[in-house]
Amino acid sequence: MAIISLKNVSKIYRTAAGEQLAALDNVNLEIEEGEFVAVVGESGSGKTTLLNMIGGLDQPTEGSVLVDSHDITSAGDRELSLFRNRSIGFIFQSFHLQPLQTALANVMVPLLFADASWPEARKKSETSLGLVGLADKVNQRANQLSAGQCQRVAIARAIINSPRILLADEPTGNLDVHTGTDIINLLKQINMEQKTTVLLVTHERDVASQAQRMITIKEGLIISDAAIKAEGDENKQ
Amino acid sequence: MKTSNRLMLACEGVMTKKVRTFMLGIGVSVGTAALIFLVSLIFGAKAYVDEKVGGIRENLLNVGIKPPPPHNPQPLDDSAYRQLLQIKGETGEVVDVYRELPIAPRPYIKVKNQPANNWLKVVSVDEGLYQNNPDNPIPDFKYRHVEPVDESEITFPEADETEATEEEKDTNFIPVIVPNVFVEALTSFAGDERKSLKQFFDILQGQEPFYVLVQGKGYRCKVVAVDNTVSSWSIAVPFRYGEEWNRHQGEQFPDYKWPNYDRFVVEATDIKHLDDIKEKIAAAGYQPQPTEAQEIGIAVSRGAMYLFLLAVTFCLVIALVSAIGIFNGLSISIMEQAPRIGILRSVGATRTDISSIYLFEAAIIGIVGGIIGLVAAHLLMWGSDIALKDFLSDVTNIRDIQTLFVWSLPEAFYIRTGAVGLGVITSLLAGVGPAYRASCLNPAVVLREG
Ligand SMILES: Nc1ncnc2c1ncn2[C@@H]1O[C@H](COP(=O)(O)OP(=O)(O)OP(=O)(O)O)[C@@H](O)[C@H]1O
Ligand SMILES: [Mg+2]
Repeated sequence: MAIISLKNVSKIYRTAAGEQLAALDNVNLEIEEGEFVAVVGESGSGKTTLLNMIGGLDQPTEGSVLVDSHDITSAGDRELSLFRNRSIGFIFQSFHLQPLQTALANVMVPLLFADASWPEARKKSETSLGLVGLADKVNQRANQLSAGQCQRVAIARAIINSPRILLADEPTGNLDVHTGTDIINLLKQINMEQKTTVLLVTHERDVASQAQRMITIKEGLIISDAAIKAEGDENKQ
Repeated sequence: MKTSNRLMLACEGVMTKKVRTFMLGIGVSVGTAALIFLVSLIFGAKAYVDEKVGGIRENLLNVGIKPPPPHNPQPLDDSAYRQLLQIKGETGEVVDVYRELPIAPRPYIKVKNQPANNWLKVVSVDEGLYQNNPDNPIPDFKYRHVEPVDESEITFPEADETEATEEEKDTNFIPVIVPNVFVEALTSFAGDERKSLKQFFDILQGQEPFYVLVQGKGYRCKVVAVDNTVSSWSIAVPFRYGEEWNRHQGEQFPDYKWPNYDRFVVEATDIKHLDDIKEKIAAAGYQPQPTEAQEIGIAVSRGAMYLFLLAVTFCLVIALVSAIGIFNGLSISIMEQAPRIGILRSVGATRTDISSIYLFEAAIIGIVGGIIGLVAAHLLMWGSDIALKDFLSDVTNIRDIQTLFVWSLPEAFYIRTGAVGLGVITSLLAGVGPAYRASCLNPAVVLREG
């Protein structure tokens, strides 16, 4: 049973000129639990849109998105918010941290919406920061951290509620190659150890090649979907 | 999501833009301070007037015959009194019913040239009555008027509360007739302390001294004789003393004939019951008449109300202006903080969470502004008191002002909490729109832009 299943999902935007633009065009996709999937494609091809649909951050114009057999496209705001809080972790290219807040405070935010008690939230956040290797930066402000450390904090925030799905939108886009590799390894580690399903959007081929499966999108259409051999070979399915 | 967590996120939001929050709060502060200042001033003025015309006993109601004489010569008698008493029993809104008795006897009093302490205040001095009365009712009694005494003529020894000796009576006491002074004095005396009628009789019989204040000077007085030829003043005494009074008058002045009652006086437990009582009295066939005190009271209240409305209007304008400011400020900060809203939504904030967080921000602005306004108002009132008191005592002869404002509980408490509450409500109302808009932001869109 696929953990994520998109059925005939389309997302049509109306551009300023009044034309209709299909960011996603009748997409069908299934992702199994525990998979590490890379999503590649040109800029503007619809990668972010795809992630937003899966993460319940935006609604498709047509079609349905099923996560764990639940149709999240018909969920109300409260249900959808709870779903994002419990089942999804978002990671962004630009981290989206509160710069004046400490690493701990940033990581804790999702717990505020999960009604965790203060000591519990603190403990969980520290554990989470430990998992991403930032046990010693707990009380450092986000604006005093390096880019790589920032992304680690963002990952710690994403995984704090032990979500079943991690959606990472170009997490290495703002990082140098070396730091980027560290981040990808961290995501792989989370994927391995916690069986978290990871969707990774990236521009970089070698980043994508670290995944088990690579989906290529072009103008809202999935033009290829293939498993990747551990060595990096591609096989058409 | 827990309210405390929403509040915490609101505080975080505020802390990232302290200066702006402060500036928005200033609008609320000005309104709050102005409201507290003006309303405290108005209530202070009212308190001052109340104190000055204090004891005007607005809760008294005159009851006359209906229609008034001479058309209906039916006197007010004991049965009428009992009808009024019935109203007291029915409503519980009446303290007591008094019979208003004409004071036929005019007392002659002796005045000792001595200041004393516990004055009865005398409102007016009418010296005309006796000057124009050629028939001296007690021919062998020598008397003269209290002339407004020249201060230089009198020596004021230390205040002396002791009885004058026989000797003193001849030397220090001046036998005088102070017609209305006495009656006024005793009217207010009996008015304030109706129950001590015994004392009143004692005074009338010359067994007790009393004190009057005539044109700024105090006199210790004693009644030496009573003139029962003039009847122009009346005094309300509790009905139950009526018999006593009659007996007293009869013993003292056998020729004196007691007339029918001119009117009754009904004392209400509270002025707010007056209308109700009036209706009942009218229904019983008598005519309730407002007293002068009520008219003064109404005039004062009305004047205060106009000023109050003026102050409220003024403050509403300030409230409106600061509401517009807060609306703008919050709208701008929501646009600036759009990515933060996106992030909060992505980690599980519902739309309600988002709008609550921004409403809390608005409330914080209101509370901060309100508290600053409260402090400012106190400083302003404190400063005004000092400055204006000096100014007034320099340019006028007003020296008895303690404060221009009302500081006493519970008014002061209500004014302050009311003003701060109004500030918070204003900013909350101003925050509704922006908070709603924040909750409507599409997280996918704002995260893309951030
Ligand atoms: N809110 C919107 N209104 C109109 N058009 C939009 C909106 N959001 C996205 N689009 C359009 O949808 C298409 C897909 O956008 P999307 O962000 O998914 O691309 P992407 O693959 O993530 O690109 P990139 O690699 O640059 O991030 C683009 O052409 C974009 O201009
Ligand atoms: Mg994108």
